[in-house]
Amino acid sequence: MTQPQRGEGVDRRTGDKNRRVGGGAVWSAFRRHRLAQVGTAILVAFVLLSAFAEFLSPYTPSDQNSAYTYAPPTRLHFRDDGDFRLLPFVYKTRSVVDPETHARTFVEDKTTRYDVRFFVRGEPYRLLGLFPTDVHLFGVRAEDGSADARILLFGADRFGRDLFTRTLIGSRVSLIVGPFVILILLPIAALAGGLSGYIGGTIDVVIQRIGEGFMMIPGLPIVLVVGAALSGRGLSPILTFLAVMGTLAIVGWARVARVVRGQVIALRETDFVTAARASGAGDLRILLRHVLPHTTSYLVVTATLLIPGTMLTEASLSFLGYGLREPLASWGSLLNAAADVTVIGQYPWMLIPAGFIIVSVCAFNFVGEGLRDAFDATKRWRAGRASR
Amino acid sequence: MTTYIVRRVLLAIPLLLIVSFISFLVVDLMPGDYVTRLEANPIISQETIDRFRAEFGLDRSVLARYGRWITSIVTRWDFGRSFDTFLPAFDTLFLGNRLARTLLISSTTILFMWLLAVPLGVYAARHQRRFGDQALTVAGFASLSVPGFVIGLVLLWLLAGPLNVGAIGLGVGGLLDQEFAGARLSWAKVANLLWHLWPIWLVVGLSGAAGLMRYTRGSLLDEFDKPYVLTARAAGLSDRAVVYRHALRNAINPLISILGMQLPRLVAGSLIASKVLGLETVEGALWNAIVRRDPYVIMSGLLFFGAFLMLGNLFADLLLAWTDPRIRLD
Repeated sequence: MTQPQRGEGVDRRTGDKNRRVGGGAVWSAFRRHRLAQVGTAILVAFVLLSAFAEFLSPYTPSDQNSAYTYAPPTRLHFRDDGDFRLLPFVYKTRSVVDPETHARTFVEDKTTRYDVRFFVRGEPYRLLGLFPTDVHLFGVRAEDGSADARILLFGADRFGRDLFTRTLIGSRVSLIVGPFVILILLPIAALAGGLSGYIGGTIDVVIQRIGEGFMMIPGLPIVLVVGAALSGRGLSPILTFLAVMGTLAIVGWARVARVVRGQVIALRETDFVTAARASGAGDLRILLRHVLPHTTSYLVVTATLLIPGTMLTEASLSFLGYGLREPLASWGSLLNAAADVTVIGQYPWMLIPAGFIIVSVCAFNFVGEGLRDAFDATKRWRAGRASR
Repeated sequence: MTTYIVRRVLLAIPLLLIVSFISFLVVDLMPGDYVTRLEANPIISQETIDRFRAEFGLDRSVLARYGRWITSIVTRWDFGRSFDTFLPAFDTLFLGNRLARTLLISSTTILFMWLLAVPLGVYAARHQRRFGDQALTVAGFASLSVPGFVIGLVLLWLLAGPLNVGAIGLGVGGLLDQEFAGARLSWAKVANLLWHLWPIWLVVGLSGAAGLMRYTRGSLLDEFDKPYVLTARAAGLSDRAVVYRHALRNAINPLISILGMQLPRLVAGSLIASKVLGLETVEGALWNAIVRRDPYVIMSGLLFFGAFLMLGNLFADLLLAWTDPRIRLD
């Protein structure tokens, strides 16, 4: 095996050819990572979906209509008496109650049809929270203005609310929650780990013990208890939710702090820290300005890898009813309504939000994997592959 | 070795104190208490309520009550009573074989995860960047991204909807069929138990298994790069011998060290499985206590799982010391 020359090398694990060394190398390795490309594309699409949620959805998330309780997804028809039409239409639907079983079924009334139209006027909203408008991307409208015209792409829930609309609106909480929790967790972890490693001595022992105590806390149950405790206090749902998610961050800092501590201990003895100390920099300044920035690559990768787990925990919490709750919606809380066997059996479309959870979590996983591989590849290259 | 275990157990005491204090603080956040509920009942006199308040120490400060609780645990092994069943807290948590079920589910799920993940991880590493590896990568990421409760819901839907064989037909829900519940141990009972365990394994352990498979693959690939593997290959050892006798033995060690980290997820997964599949476990009892806001049972439950995680971590460290001769415990 010949020694790879500086400036080119093949990473066995990713098959990447590293042509550049340094920050640019990480970026280019990340950009060439296939999974990371897919993940990024999905995330960009999801962020756009959630940003333009009101525009893309035909109704508002709280728009109830008891006539459409558990209405199945509306069928789009492309064939009109055998002729194919580019623009679909829907039939008027009526609910029929079986006189014996009292089960409600929805049947299409083939005599009345409504064309699916684009850029229709509907409920007013603010686009991106700024521009007041009432134009929605698509919708159906009856000429006489009757409420019978309704398009429910994902069906309706117990209150006849449009699940498609609620899924789009719910994407906001579900997508933001991972980064939100990590943004609270990382500073705590970096500071605790940094102080612990840099100062050492008693402070190190105390922080390490407290951290170990936090690691031994069963995470989900304790966050559930916090959710249960706050829910009875008359706080607004969003405040309760933020507090619960903050708890998630507080419970999770210890493991990250431990790794930061190890890195800081190694960095403490380096020449540049000695130089900073010799030129009279204070301890806190050295820690914040010189030592901790060197742990950034670890923190960035960790943050990305922690996001999927956080999203799954939020989904589980909201599913259990102690995360986000009505009238707010996240993908997890939408599934809370499907927790019943009879509901799932009869109204399987209530499970659709689960698909969104899976795809978005998967996308975050892809991006995290790409970042880790990119950092690994460059770091290994710098360390010299032949010496390993 | 013995000194090490003794030291770890002694070290566990301050950790358990931290866990108990945090649990107490969190439970204390709950609005109202059992007595508040009684106040709404006109039959119960104010005197009785005051007596209850004094008895449970509800009229004193947080720290005083925490001190009282810890003292009663240390001196009398009394963790407080359930306000719901009036049984001691741990009796409520462990009511009817719950502890045995929790241990059975946890241990078999870990076994399932390892038996599924390690062979697949080895396969993926040996066929790196070929079709099998890539298929496993995709499948692994997909499994990693599915919340446990969604697996449970989909299983329930399959049974209630398309397959329409009823929950019993596929063993989803509960741990045993009715007819085996009181029966003596027999092969049929074990078979029935396993038939009910596989959905639980999927709900609790699938994402963990996927993660473990990725770790196995990565760890094994790291070993493949090392000179000793090259030496072994150069000496003419068969591929099988190189992988299983040399590389895998070393690749396993980092996996054992993450065994302890998997336990919190196991507890969380098992709690969710208990709710979705209707299992009578300690996690399920804790969930019920949270729903009913039963303070002493919640605190005891959190403390129990804290101790459970500590024991699990100790076990993982001992196992690591046993498999990795470089690690000496003293």
